[in-house]
Amino acid sequence: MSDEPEDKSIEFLGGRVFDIPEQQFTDLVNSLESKRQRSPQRQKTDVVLGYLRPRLTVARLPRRPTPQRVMCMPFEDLLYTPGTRRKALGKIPRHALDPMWDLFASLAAPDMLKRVRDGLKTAEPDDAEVFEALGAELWPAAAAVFQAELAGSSKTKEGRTQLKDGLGGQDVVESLEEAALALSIAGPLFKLQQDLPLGPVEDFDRAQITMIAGCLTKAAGMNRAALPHVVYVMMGRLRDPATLLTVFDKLTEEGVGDLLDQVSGQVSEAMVNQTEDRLIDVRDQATKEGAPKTDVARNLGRELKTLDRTAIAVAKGGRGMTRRIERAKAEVGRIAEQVLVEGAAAETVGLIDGLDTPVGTDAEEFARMRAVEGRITALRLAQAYADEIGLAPKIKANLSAIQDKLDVRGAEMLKGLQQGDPNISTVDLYATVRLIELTSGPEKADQLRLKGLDAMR
Amino acid sequence: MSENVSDSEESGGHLSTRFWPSTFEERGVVVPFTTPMLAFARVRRDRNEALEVLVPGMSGGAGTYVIGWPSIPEMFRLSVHDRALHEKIYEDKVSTPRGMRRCAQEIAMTGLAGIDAVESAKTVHQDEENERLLTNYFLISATVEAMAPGAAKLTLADVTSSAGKKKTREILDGVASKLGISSEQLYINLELWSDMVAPVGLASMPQDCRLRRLLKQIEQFSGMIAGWGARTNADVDGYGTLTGEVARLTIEIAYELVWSIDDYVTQMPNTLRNWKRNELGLKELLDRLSWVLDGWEHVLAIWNASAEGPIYQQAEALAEMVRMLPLVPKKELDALKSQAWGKLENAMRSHVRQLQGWQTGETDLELALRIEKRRAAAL
Repeated sequence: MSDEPEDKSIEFLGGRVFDIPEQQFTDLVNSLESKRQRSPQRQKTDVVLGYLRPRLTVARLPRRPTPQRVMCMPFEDLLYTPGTRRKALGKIPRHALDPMWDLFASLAAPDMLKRVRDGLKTAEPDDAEVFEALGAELWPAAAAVFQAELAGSSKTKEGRTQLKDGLGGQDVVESLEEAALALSIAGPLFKLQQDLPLGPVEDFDRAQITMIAGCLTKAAGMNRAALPHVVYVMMGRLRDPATLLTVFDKLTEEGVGDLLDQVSGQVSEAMVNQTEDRLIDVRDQATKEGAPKTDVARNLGRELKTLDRTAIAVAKGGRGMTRRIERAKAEVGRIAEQVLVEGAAAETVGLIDGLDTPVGTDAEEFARMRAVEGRITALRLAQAYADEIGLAPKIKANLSAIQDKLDVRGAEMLKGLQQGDPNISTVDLYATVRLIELTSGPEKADQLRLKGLDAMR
Repeated sequence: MSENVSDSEESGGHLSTRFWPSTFEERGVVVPFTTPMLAFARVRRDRNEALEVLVPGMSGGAGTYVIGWPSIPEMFRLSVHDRALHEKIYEDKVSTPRGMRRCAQEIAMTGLAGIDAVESAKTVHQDEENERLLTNYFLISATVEAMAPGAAKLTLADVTSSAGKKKTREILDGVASKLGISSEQLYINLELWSDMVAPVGLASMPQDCRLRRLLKQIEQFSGMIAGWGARTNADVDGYGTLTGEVARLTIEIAYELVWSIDDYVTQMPNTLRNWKRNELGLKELLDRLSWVLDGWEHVLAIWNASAEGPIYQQAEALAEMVRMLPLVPKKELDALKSQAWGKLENAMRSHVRQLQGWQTGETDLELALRIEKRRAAAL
């Protein structure tokens, strides 16, 4: 391990990314983009750009166009950043982009790449027309290179291993397959991405449905196997996966029902697969040392809601799909039990006892109070969905034990106050009132407050 | 007051369908309750000087319920923080932004709304104390510069060291004699002045004080939100445009007030010579400024909490913000501005819709914690 102190400045930047004034933010991104072109700095700038990504997404800030970026435009909606090296169906991990580009750049016609590079020199960062024109040459070429590589390597075991090793992993090979399909229908896909609202949105309006139907029809004429990618773009833009059902109904009214029938199985599979894939990151984040329990409880609650909506969306896909969603729910339950419930009462009671130990600074006092609040709040938040994951009795038992502890503490405090104990302050009283409110609600807590204040008078 | 009153008056309150108040007093002051159903509440005095609370959209409609202050704990399931705040406001008969701020900070310090609120209250208290001292120093400097031009410039050390204090006293004695008042009176007047303007500070200060800072935040927000809809395609209800417009018009009015407050420093000799009259004028301007900006901390806190979230969360935040937008009262505007605000009132009337999940009366812990966090940020 290095003795150098860990550099937290980039993480700090990530936390303040929305505080940077608009102009400075634009300048910062432009400067990083320039640095990124110089290969030795590429890895570093990618890390910084990763921290800026939340705002880049919201601001929809046009990025500096490069041939690689133009190549990726048709499957931009499929890109994601998993916490570990892997790939979900219908998604392309960002770490696969560089090896894919390197492969293409090494095999593509140099004249064509030069034409694209030259064409981008005068292009504005958001000039969709230029990208479409340059892509008309670049995208089919990339699709052809990727398809040829995949076809050539698939013939023998050695070929497959060689491609996998050359690209750096099976996840990149699978990404290459995904990219090859998307690029085979790149024209209509790119147009659709430009026309649809930036996600996540609640639904698509009639005009957007007509555009999607048009895209499906055009794509079917180019490569039917790539049709699911049109749906993946829609999935990337919708807030709620269950909305896909109503979107499909509307598209059927537009006369493309037969095309949707062909892809529905694959789309359902992708939805379930992406859900399962996401749970890997959920577990990873939840079990990370020092992860705030309240955040974990919130995230698990959100995850369960997404699972419910996904279950509705894939219900037609058969019992197999539903069972997989149920398994994913059970995994959420296991994470909740492990991180939020196991030993919660004992730990919280210990933390409450610790509140009486004198500390030197406000910061220490705040930290220990936050720790108790966080433990109780996490249990209460998890209680809201405890029935769904079979944890209701365990959470109830933990909360009861904490309640008992707080009841005793409140009673002792009141007794002390009535006897004029100088060691009990209003801060102690209010801290206990607050914890009782979080555990048992405001009525009981307020009784202690009023009695305590009476005793102090 | 000419409000539309429904039959519900007998059951502890009445319904007002007006959006645009005539005066600040009619608009009321934002009460930083953490109970979700009261998240948009304002308090004001009724005809008999008793306190009453305005609760918008209680039944999901566009109207505002007007409820007598003592009835609140019977009608709503309040958090302990809100019970304590309710008692304090009642005891102190608070109905001005300044009074509400003091009250909110005092209750926040108890910790009943969580540790974030305690930390914020402590920081804000410290910041305000620093701003008060700095304003005092810059005001004395400005006085010396304007009325004792030959004297050397004061430094911060002059205000703290005993030799510096002596030097400052000598210069100010000279200024007092020029003004024909006692030195003692000059010190008192400068102290009163700096205490009064500390929330705004002076234009010459290198760091902005609270209200000037808030004004700049609103300005920044207004510029950002104007382009938000175009960037995201998500402003289907027009909330971004509406909020941006209200912010822009508020800034115009607020800056005029700030400049008028700054003018008293520019006209230093006259200000000090006629202090009694000018003190009243300044107080009125500062009161108006705090009324104009009342509620904006809360509006911005809603946005800031969702700024890093996905687009749909930002759209939801905007719907909440529209509920809270502090419209400047009719009587505070000249005819030209009234036209623009009248249009906004109509827009708000047609825009405001029910906020799902806020009006059920159930205590949603997640929602309550979210409001607590925002209230702490807005202290």
